[in-house]
This record gives sequence, C-alpha cells and structure tokens, in this order.
Amino acid sequence: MRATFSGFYIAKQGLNAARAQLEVTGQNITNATTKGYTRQCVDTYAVGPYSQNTRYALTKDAHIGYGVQISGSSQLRDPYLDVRYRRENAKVGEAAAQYNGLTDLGYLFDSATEESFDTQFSDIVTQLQTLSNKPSDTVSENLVKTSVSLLLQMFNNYSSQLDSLREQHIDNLNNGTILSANQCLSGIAELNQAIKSASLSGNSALELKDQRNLLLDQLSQYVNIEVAYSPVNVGGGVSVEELSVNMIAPNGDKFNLIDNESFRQFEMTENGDTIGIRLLEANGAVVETSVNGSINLTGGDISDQLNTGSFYGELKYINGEGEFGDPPSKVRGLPYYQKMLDTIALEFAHVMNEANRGADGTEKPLFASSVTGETMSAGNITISDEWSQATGSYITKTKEVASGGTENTDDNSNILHMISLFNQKNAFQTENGYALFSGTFQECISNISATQGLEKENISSQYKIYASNIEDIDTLRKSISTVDTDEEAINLIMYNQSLTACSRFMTTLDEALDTIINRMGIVGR
Amino acid sequence: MRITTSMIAKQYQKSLNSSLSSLNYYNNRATTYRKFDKVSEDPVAAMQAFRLRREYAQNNDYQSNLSNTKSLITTAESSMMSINSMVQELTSGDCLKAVNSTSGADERNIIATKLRKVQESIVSVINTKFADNYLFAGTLSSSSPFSIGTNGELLYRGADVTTGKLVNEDGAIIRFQNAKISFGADNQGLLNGYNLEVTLATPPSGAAFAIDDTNKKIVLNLNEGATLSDLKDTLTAAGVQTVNGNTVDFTKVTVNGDLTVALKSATSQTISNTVDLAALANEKTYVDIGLGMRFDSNGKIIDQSAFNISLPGISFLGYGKNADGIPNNIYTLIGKIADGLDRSDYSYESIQPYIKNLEQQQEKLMTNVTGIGVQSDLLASTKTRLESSELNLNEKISDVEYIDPAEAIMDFKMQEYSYRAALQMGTLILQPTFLDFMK
Repeated sequence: MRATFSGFYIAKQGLNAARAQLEVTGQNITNATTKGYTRQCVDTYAVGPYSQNTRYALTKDAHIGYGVQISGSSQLRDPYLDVRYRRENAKVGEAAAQYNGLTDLGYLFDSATEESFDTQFSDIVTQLQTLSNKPSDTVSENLVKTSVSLLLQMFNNYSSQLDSLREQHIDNLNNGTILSANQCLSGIAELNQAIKSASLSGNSALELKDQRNLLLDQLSQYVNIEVAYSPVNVGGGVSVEELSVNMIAPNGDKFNLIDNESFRQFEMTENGDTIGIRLLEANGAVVETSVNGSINLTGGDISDQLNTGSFYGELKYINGEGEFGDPPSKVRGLPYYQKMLDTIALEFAHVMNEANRGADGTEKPLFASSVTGETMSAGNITISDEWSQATGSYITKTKEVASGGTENTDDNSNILHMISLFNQKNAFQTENGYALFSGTFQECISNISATQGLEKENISSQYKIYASNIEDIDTLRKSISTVDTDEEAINLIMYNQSLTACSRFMTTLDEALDTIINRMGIVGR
Repeated sequence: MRITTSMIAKQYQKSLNSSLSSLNYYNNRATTYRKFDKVSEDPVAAMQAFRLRREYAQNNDYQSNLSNTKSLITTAESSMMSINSMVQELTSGDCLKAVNSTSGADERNIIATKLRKVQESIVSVINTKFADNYLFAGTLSSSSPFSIGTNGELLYRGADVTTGKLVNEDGAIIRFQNAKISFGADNQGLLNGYNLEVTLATPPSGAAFAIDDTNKKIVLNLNEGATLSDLKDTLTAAGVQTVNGNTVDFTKVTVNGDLTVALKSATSQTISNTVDLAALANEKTYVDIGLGMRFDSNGKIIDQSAFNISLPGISFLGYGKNADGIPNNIYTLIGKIADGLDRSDYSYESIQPYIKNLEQQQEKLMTNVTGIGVQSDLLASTKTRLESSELNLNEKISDVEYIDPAEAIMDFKMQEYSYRAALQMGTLILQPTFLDFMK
C-alpha cells in the first residue's frame, strides 16, 4: 500500500531533475565556445518500488517506482580518442619542429631565384677565363681576387648564420619548448591535487578535468606520453581516482613524469656541442633509471629515449650530423649543413692551394684560416695574407719551365688548369672517410640545396599527413564532446516541458487529494 | 556522425584559409611567371635549373673568349699577310730581278736601301700589339718580342734568331727556383752544358763545392734549410777553379731574385747561354672556347681540347740555319742580301743562296698564314655551335623555370573563382540555428 503523499515526492523528484537538466543545458550553452569544454549531462535514474523482499509484501500491487533520482553529472568524452589524439600529437610535434627548422634553413639554402653560391662559383670561372686571356694583367687578377673573396664572404656569412640559427633553436628549446612542457607538468600536478580533493567530497570537478585534459593534450606534443588513471581507496567505502603520466621509451619501458601531485621537470643539458635533455626530481636530483629499471642512464640524458614528439624533433634538428656522425645516420640537422659547408670550403681551398703551388712545388697558398692555428672551415676561410698583400701577380700562371734563359710570364696553362678544376669531379667525404658526394664544387653546393629541399618536401608532406590525421581525430572527439546549440535548444524545450509536466502532475495530484480529503464522504452531511 | 555548429565553423575556417593560401600561391606564379621560387617546391627541377644556369654561364664565358680570340686571330692574319706580301714583292718583284741582270753599284745601293726599309717594316709589323698584348711573342706577350741587337742581328726575346744565343746576358745563366744565376761575362761559354746540382744534407754537414768534369756537373752540398743566399755564398767562395781545363772565376757569380727563399733538395739545372729556338717556336698558349678542355696525365693540355692562340714570331719568320748553313730567318736573309748588294766585290753567286732560302721561307710563311686562316674558320664554326647551344639552353631554362603566362593567369582566375565560391558558401553554411525559431 503506498503512502498517500508519495505522489508528491515523485513530482518533486521530477521537478528537481528537470531543473538540474535545464541548468546543465544553460551551462552547456554558455560554454559552447569555451576552449576544451566538454558537454555535460545530468545522470538520472528511475527509482524502483521499495517492495522487494519485504515481509508483508503485497503480491497484488502495481509496484510503481518512486520517481527519478539525480546521481551526478558527467562528461561526454571518449577516452580512447584522447589516447589516439595524444599519440598522433607527438608525431605532429616532431614534424612541426623539423618543419620549422627547415623553414629557417630555407632562408639560406632554399632560394631558387636569387644570387647564390652556385652563381658566385660561375663568376670566379668567368674572371679566371678573362685572366687566362691576359695572364700578366694585375687588374684581371684583382678581379679574380675580388670574386673569390665574395665567395669566401658567402661561406663565412652562411656559416655564421647557421651558427646563430643553432643558437636560436637551442634558446627556443631551453626557454620555449622545455619551459612550456614544465609548466604543463606542474599545472597537471596541481589540477590532480584539486580534482582529488574535490572528488573526496563527491564533486566530480568536470571543469577542472577539462582543464587537465587540455594540458595533457598540450604535453603530448612534446614527448610520447601515456596517461594512467588508478582508483585509490580513501576509506569509508570512498575511492577517488589518481592520475599518473609516463613518458614511453622506445623499448617500451617508461619514465614517470607525474604521479598524482608529485611531478618531475625537464632540463636542457649541454655536453660539448651536443644538446641533451634530462629529467629532474622535485628535489633537483637527476632521474637516471626508468620505471621498470631496464634503462639506466649515467648523467640522465634521455635524448636517446625519445622517439617522437617535438623534443625529439628539435634535438634532431639541433644535433643531427647526418653522414658526419659516428656512426653515420640519415638525421640531417643544422650540424650536417654546417659540416657540409666546411667540407666544401676545405676541399675548395685544398684543391686551389695545391693548384697554385709554384713551378718548383713551393707553397703559395691562396686560402688560409683567418684564425691562426685553426683548421680551415667555412666560418674562417679567407684569402691568405700572402695573396691579399701581393701587389703584383700572385696566382701561378704556369708550371712549365721556360726554355733556357727566357721567361714565360704570359703562359696561362696553370690558369686553364684552375678553370678545369671547377669542372673536375671531386670525391667529398667526411673526416671518418664516409663518402658524401662526388661531383664538382658547384654540384656539391647545389646538392646541399637539393638535400634541404627534398628533406623539407618530405617533412612537409609528413607534417600535412599527421596534421590531417590529428584533425580527423579531433573532429571525432568534437563530434562527441562539443556543444551543439541546436541540440541544447531542443533540450531546453524538452526539459522545460518536462518541468511543466511535473508541475502539472503535482497539480493533478493536488486536485486528486483535494477530492479525497475535502469532498469524499460528505454526501448527505 | 554527430555534427555540431562549432565543428562546421572550424572546418569552414580551415578550408577558407587553405583556399586563400592557394590564391596567394597562384597570384605569385601569375606575377613572376616562375614555376617555383624555392628549391623545396620542386627539388628535381631546381637542380636541373642550377645545372642549366651553370652551362649557360659557361657558354657565355666561351663566347666571350671566342670573340676575343677571333679578333686576335684576324689581326694576326692581316699582319702576317702584310709581311708576306712585302716579302713576296721582294722575291718575285722587280727588286730582285734587277739583281739578276748586271746592275751598277748605285742601282744595287738603292735596292739594298729598299731591302733595309722592308726589314724595318717587318719588325714594326711583327711587334704588333693587340689589346696591350704582343701578338707574336709566344708566352711572353707583355713585352715587345723582337728587337735589333748591337750588330744588327734580330733578337727574339733577347736571343739571336739564328744562333739562339742570349746576347744581353753576362755569360752563362740558369734559372733556378725563380731566381736568375749569372756566371759572369768572362766565364761566357766555359760552363755551357754543365749541370748545377744542389743537394741538401740532413743533418747539416757543412757546405761543399765540387766539380765533376766526367759527368759535367757542379755539385753543391748545402745544409738543410739553406737559402738562395747560401747557394750564392758557396759558389763565390769556390773562387777560381779549373773546369774542363779552363779557368773559371766563380767570384763573378751574381744572383738575381729573392735571396731568402729556401732551396729545394736534389734540384739540377743545365747552365747555358743559349736558348732552344725550336722550343720557343713551338710554345703554346691555350684559350678555353668550349672544346672540352682536358689534361693529359702530365698535366698538359691535350691539343685538340682547347684553342692555341700562341703565335711565336719566329715560327713565321724562321729561325736557325738550314743544312747549308744559311740562316732561315726572313729578316736575317734580307739583311744578308742587302749586305751582299752593298759590297764592292758584289757577285750574284754570293747572294744567290740567301735569295733561294728567302723564297723557300716565304713559301713557308704563306703556308703558315693559310694555317691561321684555317684556325679562323674553326673559330667561326665553333661560334655558330656555341650560339645555337645558347639558344637551346635558353629554351630549356624557360621550360624548366618558367610557366606559360596564359596558364599562370588561367590558374589564378580559376583559384579566384573557387575562393569567391568558398566565401559565398560561408554565409550558406553558417545557417540560423534552432534557437532562431523558438518562440
């Protein structure tokens, strides 16, 4: 037998639920454009009748439930999509870092229109050809000198620009990328704490979770992360969720980044010319061991433990020596281009210095290092003091011995030899003897442009693929999580009607009870 | 799939942006007509373009060398033609016919004077300059090649054209590591054919001087690191020595050059006061006119792979003597004939061998002049080839690097059309929502 006023209770529950639903609709509509906001809904369930297992159960009864009950509010979000998004985001981060780097490099090597190394080499040949027509003419020789010094300036200039590019990227890694990653780490840890304490009091803290998800998304572009949620029993039958974030190493082992409210920080290290990254504990101690202990790093440099993400991309760009590395690799970053320039400058200097030896083999260097004692490189190559101070003729015009006592100062055979050197195929190789390229100086210089161009084309198409993948995943995520105003408007009407209906129900009940209480049994009184 | 308004808006924004960036790209193409501005846009075509530009630059170099060479050869040809016609006039003209008859001394004097005038003209023509360079000077084109010695003999770069003797040098000389060592006028001829051999001893064992008559050598043993100055000191310190039975005073040795230059070990040079005229006449200076310049294993240019522009004057005028001991040089021969005509005991027989050789030499000269003509033809055909390959290169460059303007503009217009369409679509996509219809 049901209580007389139980219907009011049901109506009240209905009103309650409808009001909550109306309010959550309002929350959704107002946050329709808030970044990272996930649409929410009120979780309700229908309350059943109490009659089960009671001692004096009425077998013949309607067994009607007791209305609706709010169990809480929740988000509409697919965790699997989050995992996919974050995995893909790491690849986007890596490709973006490399693409940006190559774009910077492009200002040096990517121009197909302007005056370049290639044309400067051609100009030297033209000046030598002019000199070959008049070998003893010092004016022509000075023109050769000017043209050559323009080329050397180009070498110096490119070299110093590559240096400063590298500085910029190191600075960007240190004060940009790593800094924001560290901010993500500390931000997530703080939110973890806030969410945990909210959960203790039964608050689902959905808005805080949205913020945390945003930070996790951001963190995922730097390194390959894995997010784990684990329930923790806090006593009294209450359990709350704790979140930990790990960085996954190529061998499958992990480095812990965040464990609920404790977090680690990244730090850039410089080891000679090589830039690395290591992890620091909150107390500043260097992390050397992975979670499962399969990786032990002396000094804690985790750069070899990265296989995707923008840290990996940046480090490849900053450290990549390509064929110059030991062992040689295909990772061509700034050092590769720098060393390639050095190699060409050195080979050019050697070949020309050799060609300019006197008839009797005496050394008459055309090129030297501007810093005494340093080996020649693209950065320091300059016209030798002897040549720059020479007032008369310095270039060896001929190595032929003159007949008897006569002179042959207008023989040009050695100049022609020099000209032919520009068409000669040289075998360019690294210091370790790894073959780089076989061709003329000019071919080798344009090969740098080509390498850079191909890499950029390659990375750019990779970048596009990853970006479109992540776009697709994000669209899927959005299709589940974002607010649609149409939908909310419909909900608005629906919940409003539901509220009206509940009120109506109450009015009806009221009328029914009025009949029972005030009108029943008064006939004939 | 559930679609929300914010998704539509974001996707529309993205595609509108990509459409705008395409518009920018095609706008660039339509304004520059270039197929690519960056290597990365089309690395393969860019490499092709670089190669074509190099070839184009080379072609320009060759053409400028060629036009230089062509005018040089033309000048040379006309100078030689004028010498040839002067000599021809002598050999076939009345001038010498007159000699055949029994002419009087006065008449002979007039002819001799005329011959000497021709001699002067030959020298002035053969010292022709072309753009500051002496045309007929072989590998020393910056100074006048022919001069007249004190005894009226013709000198080519300081050497007598008949004997090859260096007349202005104080005795035997050698060129030793860019320095000139002279052995003094008194020692003239005494050291000819001897080699000066220098060895540097490690560790230093003191300077030593030795004469080896059997092997015709003067051996200098110097200390490691010795300079030209040490060489000079060791030579002069030797004082008076007997070489091949003759007394030679080594104190007369002078050295011209940078005395601080370090010597190289194991060098040997022949001491001489004559030059090899045949070598001088065969000197070659090449110009690269795109014949595919190559070098042999000794580092010498392969003859057909470049153009020889060296025209040593003595190869045209003749040098040395023939089998009968008659000089081969045209200038010298004319001089000899003039001398013969001037002599009081003139007899036709005394000048006849000279006239005969002069005729032969003139024929040689004619052949050489024709040779220049052939060279000139080669240049003309090379020029045609270079010009047509320049055209070819131009065409290829425009194929690889440039786009057809019509195509560029069409592409731009198409993109503009699609961008406009996209803009219009925007207002259609972003429709009013359900909210607008709620009462």
